[in-house]
Amino acid sequence: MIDKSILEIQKDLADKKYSYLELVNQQLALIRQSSTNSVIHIEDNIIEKVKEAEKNVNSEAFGMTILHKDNIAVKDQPLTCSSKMLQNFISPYNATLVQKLEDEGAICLGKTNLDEFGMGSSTSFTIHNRAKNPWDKTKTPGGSSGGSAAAIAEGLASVATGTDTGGSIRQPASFCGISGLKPTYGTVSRYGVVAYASSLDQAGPMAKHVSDVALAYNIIATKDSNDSKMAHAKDITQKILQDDIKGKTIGVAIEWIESLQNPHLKNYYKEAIKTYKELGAYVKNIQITNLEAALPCYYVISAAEAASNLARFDGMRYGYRSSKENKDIYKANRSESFGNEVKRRILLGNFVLSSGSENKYYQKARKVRALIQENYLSILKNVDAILAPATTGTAFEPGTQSVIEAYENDKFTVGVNLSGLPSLALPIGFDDGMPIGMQLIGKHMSDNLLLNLGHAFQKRTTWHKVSPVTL
Amino acid sequence: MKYIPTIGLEAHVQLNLASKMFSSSSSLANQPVNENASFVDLALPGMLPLINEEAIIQAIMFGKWINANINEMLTFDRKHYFYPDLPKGYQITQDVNPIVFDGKFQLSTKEGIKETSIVRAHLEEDAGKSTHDLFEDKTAIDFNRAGCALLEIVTGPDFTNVEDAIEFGKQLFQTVHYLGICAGSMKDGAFRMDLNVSIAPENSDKLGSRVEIKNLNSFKNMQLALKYEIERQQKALGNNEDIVQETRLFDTKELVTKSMRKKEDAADYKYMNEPDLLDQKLPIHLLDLAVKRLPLSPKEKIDNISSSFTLDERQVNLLMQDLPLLDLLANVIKKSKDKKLVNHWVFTEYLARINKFNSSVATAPVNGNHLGELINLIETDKLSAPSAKEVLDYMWSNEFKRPTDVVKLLDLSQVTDSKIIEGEIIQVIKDNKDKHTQYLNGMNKLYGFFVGQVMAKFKGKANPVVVNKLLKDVIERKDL
Amino acid sequence: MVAMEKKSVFKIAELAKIEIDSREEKKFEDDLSDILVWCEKLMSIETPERNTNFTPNPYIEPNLRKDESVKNPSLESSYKKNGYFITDKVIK
Repeated sequence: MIDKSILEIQKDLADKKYSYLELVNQQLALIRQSSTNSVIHIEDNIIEKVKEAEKNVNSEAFGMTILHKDNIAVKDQPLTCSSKMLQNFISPYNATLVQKLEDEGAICLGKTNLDEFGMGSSTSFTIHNRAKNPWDKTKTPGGSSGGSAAAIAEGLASVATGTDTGGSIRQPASFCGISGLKPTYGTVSRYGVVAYASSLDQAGPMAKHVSDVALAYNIIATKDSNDSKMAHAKDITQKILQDDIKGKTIGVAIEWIESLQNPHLKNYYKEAIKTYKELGAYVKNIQITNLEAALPCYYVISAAEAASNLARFDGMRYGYRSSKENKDIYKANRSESFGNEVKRRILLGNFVLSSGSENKYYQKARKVRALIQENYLSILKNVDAILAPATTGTAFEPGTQSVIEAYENDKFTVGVNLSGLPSLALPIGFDDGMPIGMQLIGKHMSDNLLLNLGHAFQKRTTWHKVSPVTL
Repeated sequence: MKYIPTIGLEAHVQLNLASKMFSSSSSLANQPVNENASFVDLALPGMLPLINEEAIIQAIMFGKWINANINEMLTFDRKHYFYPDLPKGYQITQDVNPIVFDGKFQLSTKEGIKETSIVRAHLEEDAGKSTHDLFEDKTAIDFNRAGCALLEIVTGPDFTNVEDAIEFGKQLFQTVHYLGICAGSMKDGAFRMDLNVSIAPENSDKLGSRVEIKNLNSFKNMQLALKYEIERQQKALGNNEDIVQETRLFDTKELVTKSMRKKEDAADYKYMNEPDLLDQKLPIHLLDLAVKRLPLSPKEKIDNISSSFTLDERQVNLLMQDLPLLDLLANVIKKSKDKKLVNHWVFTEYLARINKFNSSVATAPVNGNHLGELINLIETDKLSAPSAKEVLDYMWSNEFKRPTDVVKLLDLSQVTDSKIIEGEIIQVIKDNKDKHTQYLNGMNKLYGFFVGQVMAKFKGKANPVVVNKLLKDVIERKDL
Repeated sequence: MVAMEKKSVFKIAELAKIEIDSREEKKFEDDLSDILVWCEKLMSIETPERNTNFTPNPYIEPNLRKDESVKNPSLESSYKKNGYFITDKVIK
């Protein structure tokens, strides 16, 4: 059951092979047995919700077991963001995307592990124990949505949500051999998604099957009056994935592939390209410039926005309060509860916004950002999607990288966030037992096209059907 | 050495809205503690701001009124600082693109109209209220006010005397009420003023060090603060001391300005473009809506009134300075055309009661519609003048009632029916046969006696004109 | 070459209301210096002046809210007393 797509599960439920409650209970049991620390809160109290869902067996997400990243608000469940600041915080409301999925019959089994407030790429900056890659527990599942990626690889739920600000869905998806969509900025409501960098964040679905990613995306990509920066995806109501991608043009970021240190990886990308040719797509090489600038541009902007968004965490109305006597309460509440990575970003953000730096880095970064977006858009005028690596290699061991080395992990992903574009990560092979992934980057609002391209790929390949031997 | 003061003003005006600037909570004042503090207002994780369309319209109305430029772009910025009454750790404001800029305010002074500059007016959100003495050693915060919409209006350093500065404050207050974009009082904190004061030697082309005095909530205090501060600066310069550029508070008990706790550096607000709100072109349809909602200017209203109702210069000045009185007069004229009556009842009777009860036209219990109705009753002979005074007094001191209702309640309806009056006249004559005979024989002064008797019969409610007309005839009859 | 001065780190920490342990101070200084050097790459990129405003997605539609008040749920919090949020005094 844990390997089947939701469509198949829905058929099983219709054929009464098992009940929704049995399915849910089975998944909860698996979660309890898991040793990857992917799930940090298990929601046992679901009987009423299942009963409610069973009133509408034809709803879109009936049969969808789901885990939400712990920086996405689920009513009455913890919203720790893997931070001591919120370790005892229970969310009093549902994020819009959570509500939409619940309304369509999805059952939330719990919350997944992440890097604190979404800042990190290993899911080891967390108050919960660090998450482990189910393919090799000495390695990280990636981050910041590492918990969600690991949980899906282990088959703990059909779908898990992640958030992607600089690659945090696509990198862990690649490291864990699953699919994940970073949607076009503005198509999924950010209401209830704890903000890291407001102009870069997007929440998106992760799953073994692109068809499940598409199913979830269809439900959550609708207008929300609680978020005033939304773009209405007009053709997102197309519910059935088209498999025919003949005539579509794919631009290959050949320099990025050639730059990969590990020679075996290049072969898998070449295979993936061949697969697309066999499917009838046109393939050509393209060049993405300004790669060098994208990373510092991303870190300056995201640090500035993060420093600003985290200013509300002061322990005054909710959250962690220091028990120290005679202190500056702001400093005490914040310093005792933020981890070092978060502190680093806050300091960097304050620096680039302060009058001391004359704002030069921040203003420059904003201009470079516009250039990067222009660059992608001009490439995308001539191709339907860009095929590129999402990571520089396969999953690494935690604690082996310096701060800058860790930041460099994101070199292939940040440009997409800076530009607001959609990108779908897919598994394309294994190296030394560890998954390899690629990303497909599209124009604004072309999420559906990417999902079609991914689905077509998965009808020709079986990488997404391989599961780690766990438990 | 003669010093000339230079004064600039900043007003924080609470806009007249049902909900807050960036959230849908109620912006009603004086509600139970934290009753209207939503998750957005409290800055819970995952919350997002949503712009109140009506706030934009009201800001544009102000801009149009003062002939200012309306910014083509609608953008917001974050101003960061840490304080318990500021939930997000930043205030959403407009730093780069104020919605209104470069306007002119026509200030009415004794010396005539002075044009003062409004450098900018922008939208921002208010903070909550902290109280430091409710609980021992703790600060208590009420977030009902957090997020309410403010229009911050900034003048140029245009005022060179205290009187003009105060007068500006008063007229700006009137203006925002007149436009309907502010509904509260200074006392309630709906209109707060900050002052910027410096002094420089006469004929100097340089301005002195500027001192800011924050959060004045009455014109009286503004006046005292300005006077004190100017004197303080003059004394200091006289003693060869420098004026420190700083922010001071006005102590309302000791009536002096005091230095706030000094910080080493000026605050660094780390202004940043608000990434949760779309930078957009100001929607044109809002401009149109705002213009449609603008009331006529006072001058236009006075011109309209003057076309059918002559006003003398004294009255015009009075009306220009008291816009609610102008509106009252306009409403009265809608109900009554009798110039003499209107003049008397508005400028004498009504204003006398305003003075007597020490209120203002804006807060008086009787409005223009009611006054107009009352005058109309006199005009149509349904009410006598003395009775009308009784009605007006009653309306002033009692719960809201329309004039016709009060007349019924107090049984003051004027009798005008000729048959009834004639009947009573005849009865009076019959009851006073001797006096009647005397009158008929030439004692003309007894006419008054009969008038009095008839009026007494009606307890003063008979229309005197009708009484007179009928009595004149009936009293000559010899057949009664 | 941009280096993060000790004084600067403390000033920034003040602004951010973050307390830096004296033990961590050097590490933060070094990390921030490294990041700033890395950021210099940005400054060498040529960016022509333009008048258009950047948006992460040109399809985002403007969205203003009508002025209607809604009764929203209040926050239940152990930091409240008699309805007020209570904290230690910030300024003594």
